[in-house]
Amino acid sequence: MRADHQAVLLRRRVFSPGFFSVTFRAPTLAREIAPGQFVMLEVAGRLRPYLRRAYSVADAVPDAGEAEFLVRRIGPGTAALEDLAEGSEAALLGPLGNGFSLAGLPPRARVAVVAGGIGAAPFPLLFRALTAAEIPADLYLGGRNAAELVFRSRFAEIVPGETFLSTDDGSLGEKGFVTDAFARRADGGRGPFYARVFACGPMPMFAALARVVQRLDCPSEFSTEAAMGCGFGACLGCVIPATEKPFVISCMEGPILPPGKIAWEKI
Amino acid sequence: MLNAIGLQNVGVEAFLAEKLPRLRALGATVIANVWGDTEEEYVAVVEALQDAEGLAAIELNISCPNVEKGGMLFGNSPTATASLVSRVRAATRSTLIVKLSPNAPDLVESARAARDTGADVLSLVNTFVGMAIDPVTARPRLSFGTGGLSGPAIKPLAVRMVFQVARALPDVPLMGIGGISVLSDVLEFLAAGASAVQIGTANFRDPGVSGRLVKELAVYCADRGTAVSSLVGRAQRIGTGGEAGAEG
Ligand SMILES: Cc1cc2nc3c(=O)[nH]c(=O)nc-3n(C[C@H](O)[C@H](O)[C@H](O)COP(=O)(O)OP(=O)(O)OC[C@H]3O[C@@H](n4cnc5c(N)ncnc54)[C@H](O)[C@@H]3O)c2cc1C
Ligand SMILES: Cc1cc2nc3c(=O)[nH]c(=O)nc-3n(C[C@H](O)[C@H](O)[C@H](O)COP(=O)(O)O)c2cc1C
Ligand code: FES
Repeated sequence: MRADHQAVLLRRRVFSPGFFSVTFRAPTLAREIAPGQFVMLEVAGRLRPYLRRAYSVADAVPDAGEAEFLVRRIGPGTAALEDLAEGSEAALLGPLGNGFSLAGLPPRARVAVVAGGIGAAPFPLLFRALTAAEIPADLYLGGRNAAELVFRSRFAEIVPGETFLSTDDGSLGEKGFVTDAFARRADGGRGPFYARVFACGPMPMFAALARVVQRLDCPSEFSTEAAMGCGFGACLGCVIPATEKPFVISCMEGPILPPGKIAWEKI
Repeated sequence: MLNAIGLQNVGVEAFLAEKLPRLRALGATVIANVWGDTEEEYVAVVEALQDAEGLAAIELNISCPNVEKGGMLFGNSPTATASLVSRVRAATRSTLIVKLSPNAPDLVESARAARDTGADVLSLVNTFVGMAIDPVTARPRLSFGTGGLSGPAIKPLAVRMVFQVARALPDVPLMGIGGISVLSDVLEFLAAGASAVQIGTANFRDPGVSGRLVKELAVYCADRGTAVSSLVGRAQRIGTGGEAGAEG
C-alpha cells in the first residue's frame, strides 16, 4: 500500500564522482516494492528542491529491511542525496507506478534488458525477480563513454545470462549505440530471439529501440522518464503523448509502458 | 513551481459521473473549479453542475483566454470579468466563488467587478506568469516559453494581494491562496484578511499536507482558547504603519 515511509540512510556507495548508490532502512517498502516501481523522495528538512524527485527502487532486500537507489547527480535533488549524512532521514512516498511484468512468459523464454546510462537504475531488482523465476536474461548496458557505465560493477554477479557493454565513443565494450548492440543479437532469423525486452534510458535510446522491437515484433516494456511533479496523478505534469488517446499519465499508467502506446512523433 | 501543464480536466460529464461520487464517498467537501474558452462554455458547464448533489460551491477560474476576444484573459480586465460573472450568476443558485488572477492590471478593480456582478466569495490568487531560461543554451525551460508560477516563491505577493482586497472590500469573504506549506503560512493569510485558504502546489510535495494543517490549526486555536474566525483580518486591525502598495 502506498505510504510515506520515513527512512534512515544506512550507507552510500560512490561508484565515481556523481554516480552513487544510497541504501535506506525501509522495511515496509522493501517488502512491498515490485521491480520497476518508484518512489517520490524528499530529503528531510530541505525546502530546495521544493518538489520531490522520482527514483526507481534499484534493489530491495526484505529480510534486511533495505531499499537501494542508484543515482546520478544532475541537480539540487540528486545533490541533496549525495550530501545526505548516513543516519539522516528521507521520506519515500511509494510504491508508485505499475512495475515490470513477468507474467505470461512462455516456458524457457529468454528476455533482454536494455539500459542506457542511469537507465540501469531499476534493473538489479528485476534481475533478482528473473533469477527467482529462473528466467534467463541478458543485459545490454550502454552509455556515451566508460564513465557512464560505472554502475556495471553493480551487475557483476546478478545477471542470469550474458552482459554486453557498449559506448558511443568506444572507450569501453563495443563501439556504438546500445540499441545497435541489442539489434545485432536480437534478430533470431525466424522471429525475435527474446520473448520480452525491458528497457530504461534516455528518449533518443527509446525512440531507436522502439523501431528495432517493432521490426522484430518483440514485446517490450519501457521504463519512461517524464518530469514528475507529484508521482500520484494529481499534477498531470508527467503526461506523455499517446497513440490510443491524447496522453498517458506516466506516473499512474506507467512508468512502464509498451512502446506502441507512445506517440513517438509527438515527443 | 513553474508549470505549463495547462487545463487537462476530464470534462463536466466525467466529473459528474466518476469524480464527484468518488469524492463524496470520501466525505470531502467538494467545490467545482470551472473554466471555458467562451462565456457560453462557462455557462454550459455551470448549468450542467446546477443540480449535482453534494457540490458545496462553484469556483470560476477566470485566468483563461477568451477566444472570442482575441485571447485576452477573462480575469485581466474588469469589464470582461463583470460580463462573465453576471452571465454565470444568472445561470446558477450555487454559492459562486470567483478566483482572481494576480496578473490583472488592477486587482482591486477586478475584485470589485466580480463582487458587483454577483460573486459570493473571492479566491486569490491564481498563478503568476513566469519564465525560466536555461542559462547555458538560453532556451526557455518550458515549451510554451512562459508558465504559471506557484509555491513559496509567490507567498508574499499573494499575502499582499489578499491584504489589499480585504482592505478595499471588507464585507466580501476571501479565500487566500499562494505558496501555503506550513501552519504559519495559513495564519499569515488569515491575518491578512482571508476567512479560508486553499493549498495547491504543496499537495504535490506532500499529499497529506492539507489534513495535517487543518489539525495543526485546530490545536493552535485550542491552545489559545480562540476561534479561527477571530484570527481573520488581524493584520487589518493592526494596520501596516504605511499604505499597502508602498515600495522599497
Ligand atoms: C519514474 C522515474 C524514475 C527515476 N529513477 C531515477 C533513478 O533511479 N536514479 C536517478 O538518478 N534518477 C532517476 N530519475 C530521474 C530523476 O528523478 C530526475 O533526473 C530528477 O529531475 C533529478 O532531480 P534534480 O533536482 O537532481 O535535478 P533537476 O533540477 O530536476 O534537473 C537538473 C537539470 O538537469 C536537467 N536534466 C534533467 N534530466 C536530465 C538528464 N537525464 N540528463 C541530463 N540533464 C538532465 C534538467 O533539465 C535540469 O536543467 C527517475 C525519474 C522518473 C520519472
Ligand atoms: C499544476 C497546477 C494546476 C493548476 N490547475 C488549476 C486549475 O485547474 N484551476 C485553477 O483555478 N487554478 C489552478 N492552479 C492554480 C492553483 O489552484 C493556485 O491558485 C496556485 O497554484 C497558487 O497556489 P499554490 O502556491 O498553493 O500552488 C493550478 C496550479 C498548478 C501548480
Ligand atoms: S507526476 Fe503528477 S500526475 Fe504524474
